[in-house]
Amino acid sequence: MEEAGDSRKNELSKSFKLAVQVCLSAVCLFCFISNLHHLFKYTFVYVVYLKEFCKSFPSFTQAEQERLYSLYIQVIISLHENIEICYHKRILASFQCYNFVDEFADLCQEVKVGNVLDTVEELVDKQTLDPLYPDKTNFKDVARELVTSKKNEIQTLQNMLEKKEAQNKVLRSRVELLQKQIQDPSGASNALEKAVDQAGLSQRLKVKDMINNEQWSWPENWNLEFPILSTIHTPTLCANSSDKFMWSTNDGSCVNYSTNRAWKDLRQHGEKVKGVNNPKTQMQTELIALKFDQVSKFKKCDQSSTNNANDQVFNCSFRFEVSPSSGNHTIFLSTIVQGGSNRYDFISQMSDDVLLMILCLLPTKDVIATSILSTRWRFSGYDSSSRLMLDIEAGGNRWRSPSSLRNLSLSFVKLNNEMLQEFLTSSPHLETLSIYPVQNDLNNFCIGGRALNLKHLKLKSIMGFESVDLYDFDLVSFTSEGSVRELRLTDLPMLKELNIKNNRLLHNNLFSEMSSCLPNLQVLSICAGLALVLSSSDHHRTIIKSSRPCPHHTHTSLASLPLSTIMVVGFLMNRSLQARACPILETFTIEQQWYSQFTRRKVRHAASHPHTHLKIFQFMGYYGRNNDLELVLYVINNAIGLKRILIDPRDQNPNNYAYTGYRDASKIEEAGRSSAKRKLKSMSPPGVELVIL
Amino acid sequence: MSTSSSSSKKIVLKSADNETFEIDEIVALESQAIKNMIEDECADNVIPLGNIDSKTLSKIIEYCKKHAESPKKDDNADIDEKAVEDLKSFDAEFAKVDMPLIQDILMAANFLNIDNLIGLMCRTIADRIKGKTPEEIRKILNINKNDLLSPEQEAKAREENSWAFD
Repeated sequence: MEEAGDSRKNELSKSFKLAVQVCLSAVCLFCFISNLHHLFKYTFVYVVYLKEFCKSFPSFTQAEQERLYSLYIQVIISLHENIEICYHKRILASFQCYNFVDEFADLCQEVKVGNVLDTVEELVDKQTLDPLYPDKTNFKDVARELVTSKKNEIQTLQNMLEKKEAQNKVLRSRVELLQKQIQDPSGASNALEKAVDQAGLSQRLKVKDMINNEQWSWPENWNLEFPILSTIHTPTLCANSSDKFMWSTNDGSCVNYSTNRAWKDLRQHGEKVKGVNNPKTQMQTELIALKFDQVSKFKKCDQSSTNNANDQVFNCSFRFEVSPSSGNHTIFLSTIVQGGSNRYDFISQMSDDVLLMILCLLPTKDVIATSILSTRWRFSGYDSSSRLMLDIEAGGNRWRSPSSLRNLSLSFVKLNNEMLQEFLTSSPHLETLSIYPVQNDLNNFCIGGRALNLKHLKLKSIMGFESVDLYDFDLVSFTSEGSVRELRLTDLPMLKELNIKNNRLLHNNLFSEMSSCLPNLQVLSICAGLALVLSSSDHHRTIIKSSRPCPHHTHTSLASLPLSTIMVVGFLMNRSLQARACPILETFTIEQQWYSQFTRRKVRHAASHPHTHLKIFQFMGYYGRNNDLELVLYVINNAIGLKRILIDPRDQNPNNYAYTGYRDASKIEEAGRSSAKRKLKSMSPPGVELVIL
Repeated sequence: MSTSSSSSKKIVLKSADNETFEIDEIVALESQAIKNMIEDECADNVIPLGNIDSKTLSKIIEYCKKHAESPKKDDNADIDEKAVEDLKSFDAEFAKVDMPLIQDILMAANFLNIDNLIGLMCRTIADRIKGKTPEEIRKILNINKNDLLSPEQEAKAREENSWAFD
């Protein structure tokens, strides 16, 4: 009996599971594909399996078989319902189509197929083991029990899903609210909403609710806060007439609402609605939304003066029709506002470059006129105390300078020396001038004279200047970029800083007069381009070597220049320059680009000349060749007071790959570094700090 | 003349309002910013342009298409005058839109780094405010009222440069 029961049990569970699985997959597959309730088809599936089902339990009586089968059907149906509900809910809740197999596995887990099977097995077990078990009545009970428990489970699951959905809804609305707030951070709508909320009124309040004994019953503080309210006529209420949708125009008349009409009125204000790019469409949608809101007539809120987002002067001119109406429409209309002032305008978003580009396209007069447009323009374009960009047309002899102009930059401006001289003389406060002339214009640049107040001058040119003459004024710094064939600096007693960049054509002996004319020069910086490296080391030698005594001065050479810093970039200056020229030099920096090594420089033996003041020597772009080494040795031998040597083996040309084609800069760096370490470590005298980067 | 072909690589742009635009790579190359992205090989997927709405973007694509299709100046010296004229009239026609859109296009072009378009929009704005009074310009450019100078500042500026306000 026991054996037979065992085998029967196994048989039952086996075939039951098989059948359940087949049915489940069929059901789910079907459910998945069509989402339709084809109960007939399911039944058909069951019927097909009835035969097999009976076969599985040959030892059972037919009545028993039938009962088992009906139990089985009920279990299946409850499972199916469960699955379907879960499945649909799932689709609704997540909007995601999971992998079918995963879904199925999940569902099986959820409806506890295993448990069901176990229960069935247990029941069958009891039944077969206990001959006294009153089976014939109990199967129905069991089936009912199972069905109710399953139904409860379904109910719980449904509840859970509903709860989740409700939560989602709350979240979604919260997100929407937040988005709205972001879009309209401090609009009048909020101001109104806030006021309504603070007064403890509902946003959906009807007009008739606000009227008491044919008088408005506004909250007490409102009459003070919004004095305009007292001017609003109290409408006559009449329950029979219906509300109409009206628009109060700019000139105060009340017309039937049309989007076009409203748009016309709003547009005249030149402002935009609610920070969107297409105000008209946006306004239309908002107004249409309002229509659906069953608002019959309304008045736009006129933000007549919104100086500051935070303290808005809220001026809401309500306007109601005098003719009787039911007053059955909402009273607060906060959604129609002209939100233009809340939108950051184009000007404040645009970069300086673009604004300047626009300014450059305008005649000078208009540029000056724009200065009072807004603080932003003032900042970007023209500020009477800081800078001015001018676009001066050819023959622009009518231009005048703002009296307080301090800083002027002239890019591609057609001008000539006379104009410039005159302009500078008439600009007593102009201190900084940058000029980037039109090609072939201002070939011979010449300014000077005590009338000038100019302190800083910057010249830049691609084509170069034929000559540049600066004479007799208190210039403090001068930068020239590009070639100048003849550069003459005469009687500039205050000049402290001289920068010469990319000048490969300098012909004259600039430095010959330096000592007499530039007594205060402290910083000399020479940056050269490739061409200079290749061709002009001789020029510089000449210039420097030909320093000759200046008849009017007790000092006879560059030796008197109180230079404290020299920066030499890109080429190697003849060593004797510093030896003689700058006895009190304290910092000497060389920035060398690697490619300069491709030229063979002549390193001459210069008479050694003690540098008593040189304390810091920096060699950037050390390559490790003999020339480099010799220079360092020269400095070591001649600079008595030297404290620190800095060797940086990295290339100083930021675009080195473009010229050298070096694939592996780090290798070259490493070579330079190790060479510097090997050779210099032993040679540097005690007391000198040698730093190799 | 058209350089677009079905076989060329496509670039997909996505506007702020989630509209996608599929354009030929050659059109996208008009934008220096996108060009850089393509060169850096990070333009394989959709390029999201979160600060450009679809209306502006479609305008910009219209412009880029036209300019990508017409022969470049340095292609050969003797490009026919007609093509240049054609492009000029296209530009003129293109700029005939309202100020808000011009400003949006300018901002987007600035973001996408399309030099020609920036220039065109700047010229258009300059033309429209040329010879106008400050009040008119404020209206044209929709200058934020919060950004105005104080009356004292304005009076001072007017006085200093009175000649410009005749």
